[in-house]
Amino acid sequence: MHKFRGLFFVVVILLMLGAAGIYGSTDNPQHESSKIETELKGRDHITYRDDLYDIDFADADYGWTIGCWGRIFHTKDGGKNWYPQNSKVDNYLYSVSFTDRLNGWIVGNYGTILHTKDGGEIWESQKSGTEKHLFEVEFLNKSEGWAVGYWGLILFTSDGGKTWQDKSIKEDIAFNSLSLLGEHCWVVGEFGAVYHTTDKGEHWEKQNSGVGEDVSFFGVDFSNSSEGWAVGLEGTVISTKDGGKTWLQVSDTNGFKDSIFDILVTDKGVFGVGGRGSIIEIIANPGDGSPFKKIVPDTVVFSSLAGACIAGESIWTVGYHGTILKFHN
Amino acid sequence: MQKMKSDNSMQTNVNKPVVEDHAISRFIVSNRYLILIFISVITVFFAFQISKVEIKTELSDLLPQKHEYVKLHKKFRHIFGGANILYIDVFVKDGDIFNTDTLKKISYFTEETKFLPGVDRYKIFSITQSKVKDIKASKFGMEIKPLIPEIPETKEELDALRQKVYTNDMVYGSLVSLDSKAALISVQFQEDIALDYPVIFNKIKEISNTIRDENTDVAIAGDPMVRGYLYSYLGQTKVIFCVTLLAMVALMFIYTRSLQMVFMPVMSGILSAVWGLGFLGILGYALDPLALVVPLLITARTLSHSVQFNERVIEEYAVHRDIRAACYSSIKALFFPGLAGIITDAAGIAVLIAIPIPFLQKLGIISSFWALSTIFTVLFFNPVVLLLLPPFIKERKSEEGIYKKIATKTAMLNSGRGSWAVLGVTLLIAVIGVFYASELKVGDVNPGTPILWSDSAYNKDARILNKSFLGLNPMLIVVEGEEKDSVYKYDILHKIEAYQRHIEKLPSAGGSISIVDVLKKLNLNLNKGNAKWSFLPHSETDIAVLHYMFFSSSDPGDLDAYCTHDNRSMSISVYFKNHEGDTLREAVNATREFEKNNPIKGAKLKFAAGTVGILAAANEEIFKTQVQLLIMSFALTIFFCALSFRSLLAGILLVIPLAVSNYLIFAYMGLKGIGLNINTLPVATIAIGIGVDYGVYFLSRMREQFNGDEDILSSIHTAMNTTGKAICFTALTVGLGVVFWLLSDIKFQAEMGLLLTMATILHILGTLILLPALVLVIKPKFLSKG
Repeated sequence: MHKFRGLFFVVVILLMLGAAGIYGSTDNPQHESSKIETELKGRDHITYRDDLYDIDFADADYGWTIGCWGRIFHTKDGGKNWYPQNSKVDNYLYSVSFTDRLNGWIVGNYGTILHTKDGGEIWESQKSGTEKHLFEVEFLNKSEGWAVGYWGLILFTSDGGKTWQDKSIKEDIAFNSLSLLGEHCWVVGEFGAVYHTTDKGEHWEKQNSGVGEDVSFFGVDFSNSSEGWAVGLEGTVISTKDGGKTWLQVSDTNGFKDSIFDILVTDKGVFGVGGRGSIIEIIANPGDGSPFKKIVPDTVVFSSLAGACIAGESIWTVGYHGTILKFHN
Repeated sequence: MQKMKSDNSMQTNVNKPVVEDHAISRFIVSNRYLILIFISVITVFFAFQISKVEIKTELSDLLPQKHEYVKLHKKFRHIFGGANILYIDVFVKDGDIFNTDTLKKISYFTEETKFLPGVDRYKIFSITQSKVKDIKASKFGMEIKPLIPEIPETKEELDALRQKVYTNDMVYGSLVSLDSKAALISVQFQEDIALDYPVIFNKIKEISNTIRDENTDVAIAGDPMVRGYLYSYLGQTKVIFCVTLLAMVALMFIYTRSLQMVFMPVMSGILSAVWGLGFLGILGYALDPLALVVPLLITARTLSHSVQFNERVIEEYAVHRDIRAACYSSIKALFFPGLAGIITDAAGIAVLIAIPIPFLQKLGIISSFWALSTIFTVLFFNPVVLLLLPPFIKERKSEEGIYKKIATKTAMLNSGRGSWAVLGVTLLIAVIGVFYASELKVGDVNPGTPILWSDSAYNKDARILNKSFLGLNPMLIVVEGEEKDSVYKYDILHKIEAYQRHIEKLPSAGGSISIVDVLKKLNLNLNKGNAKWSFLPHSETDIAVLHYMFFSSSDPGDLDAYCTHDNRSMSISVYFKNHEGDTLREAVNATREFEKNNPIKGAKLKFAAGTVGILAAANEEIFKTQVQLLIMSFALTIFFCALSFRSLLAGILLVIPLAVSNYLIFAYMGLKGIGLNINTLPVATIAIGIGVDYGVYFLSRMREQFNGDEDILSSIHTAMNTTGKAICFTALTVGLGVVFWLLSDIKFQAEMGLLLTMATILHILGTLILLPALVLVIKPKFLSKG
């Protein structure tokens, strides 16, 4: 009888050990980290929170993109890798213009102007003399450049930005974009404004855009001194073939209603980028108001695209949430 | 090798006169009727109090009330949001949620949640809720409208909605998943009342079933759901509980083969339970389902004390052949060791009161009282019952059973140089234990909830939710401005924005939101939707204008999540991907570091509220006190043991096996990924302290034998065969209890069951192998004292 009892206890002990063993192998909690894969999350240092406003390339490989919170990103290999550069400011940076691999300028809100002579390793602030927002900058060469912004602000420099001359138009108009061609300069902005100068801003000629005062223009680009395009709010596209003396609006937009924030005239075509990830191509002759077609890129993005440029064979565009897109046509 | 003297020494005692007069023994034997009446009366009194006991969870008890995070949380939870949130994920397999059918289902679910008991109707967020807005720029200025005023029916309307969502930062990724296949409904519940979890649970399940179909499914997570599952498993828990108790009783019966000998421990267990639960009723505390493992452990201890006593009586009976004399000598031998053991146990449990978390304090109070009741329900009650209802004690032949063989071999381990080997091995194990004990983490170790199995319905749902949405575990930071219009001040808002960028760099942070995001969006839309305007204006006037524009087109309370009505305080919600202990620590440290490096007048970051905040608070409290707890536990144990043996050395010797077991248990928890949290801490604490009475019984038996002219080694043998047997038997009983808990749907109960078995086994081994080795090597003087 006691043998049975002893056996019984051995069984119980084995049961307990067995249970412990089973338990050891049953519950394997997964150490998954929840990764969200989406095209909107940028690469490397560029995150979902980095809204990018403009991009410019010196050639096919060397490019810079800029955005909110003083962010500057640089690539040396045509966009495969981007790494951050130190702007030393917190301001929102709206526009970048490089004349070659070394010399570049950036403008931003509250009168920010930055300059580099070494491709962005070091960025220095330049004195704009204003606290108003600057929305676009463009340099013809290492010395001559323009910047436009809020409250009719237009600045011109002939010494590479060391000093800036105030060529503002004394009107309460926000100027959003400019286009340079030789001695011509066009600036566009709120209230359907288009202005033109040929004498470095001493005199400004107001041009008739033909649209109402409720339309703002966000981008302008000219292919030569006669043919040019301007784009703006809710799908507005106007073009000219006489240097802006007369402008004609594209009437049939195929129902396209998003704002277009930048326009690019290239030898591959005329492209616009804008709200809700829109990329459009304008396949018409300037001045005759023909329609355009909308391109939707393969990686469908819904972030607003703020700026575009051409580099080598590709067209680059950047926008909200760290979006950087590249396409060929 | 010395010849074992066992029965010989017993027989010589027969010729000696009956044992000397012992005060307590005399007291108990003489007053047995009085004692019986006294205990009965008290039991009846407590029995009546049991009806007041409810099984429920008081959430506020789980928070360290005095911790600054908890204080912050309680101050602002009504405005900015609390921590008792239910997350409902409605998702589709094919296509996306932008179709009339799915949107109608989301809307239906959202509306139904408003009727859940205890819900805070103003804190329900979903894309179909009117408080979720779409802000748009147009030629005419700014339009602020509900995102979904009516469920769209046509393709154009659906497409328009899709576009609206994609461009809305405050919805895309948080209320709608990035792949558009899932929509989130987050529902907040009140925190200062006890919720009716079973009702909420069943209602949610019912609504889910209504909207499920081949393409649509629902996943639900959040603390209310965890508790709902716990309550739904309550029936199963009760069954396991009963089966366990029955198994224990059955085991005892098989062992003693006497109903009466089984009856007494069971009676003692029941009496202690009545006293314990009655005390609970008097104090008005509730019984939390997660704390049910503790009573079982205490009951096992009660049974063990009873079994020890009965075994001794049987042994004495074999000598005296008279039940009265047998009881008398048993009491004399065991009363004080038993008392020491019980008080030390109770003290080891009572240390929980030192942790400033009400749940643990209440558990400490009730459990230590319950443990102390053993003094009456066993030490006094047991002999009284034996005297009044004398059992028929069968002759126990000295058995050459398996136990004796094992016992002999075990004792032999310590003979000769064996004891040094034992000490050496123990030291090695202890070092390994200490090393791996550093793996032990405070807080949760895995995502989801550790209370349920990782393949449980809840945790599966939690994983689905975490994949779809940026972050479901909010940490709330509050900026309490010093002046009334702080909400318009650029410096303060700029600091908030800087903090958001800083904290979002953490890999575990999914995103954050604050009033700054609202202002940026307003600014953007005020300026024709031009992306370049999505910044925080520098001037106070501009900011005030934006506020005005928002308020004039929105409903009251729409900005509640971001700032208070008096425009003084603002919130920053940071969403984390999980609530693991490491994540919380990282979050708090990053915030602390930022605040230290960026002190701005009138813009102090106060942290942390929300789910992450209060969990971090609980973890911090546990982390701070765990070392104190250990020291207190050991100190009290040493004290009481030293007192009962009148030797400090005795106290220290008894604590050594406990210390080694303690590290081994922590090592086990660390390796197994069992975090030290508010539920595991009491079990771990109690498990450590509660094994000392084995040692006390064993040592005092050894001392008895040693004073009766046996040498140390044979004292060990005798103690092993008598007390040791009872100890092993108790261990088996407790161990048997574990097996059934492993079948529980509640992983926490299985883990705790296993932890307790481990602790028990370790204590047994410590008592039967390590303790003798220590005694043999040190040859302490207290062994010779009477």
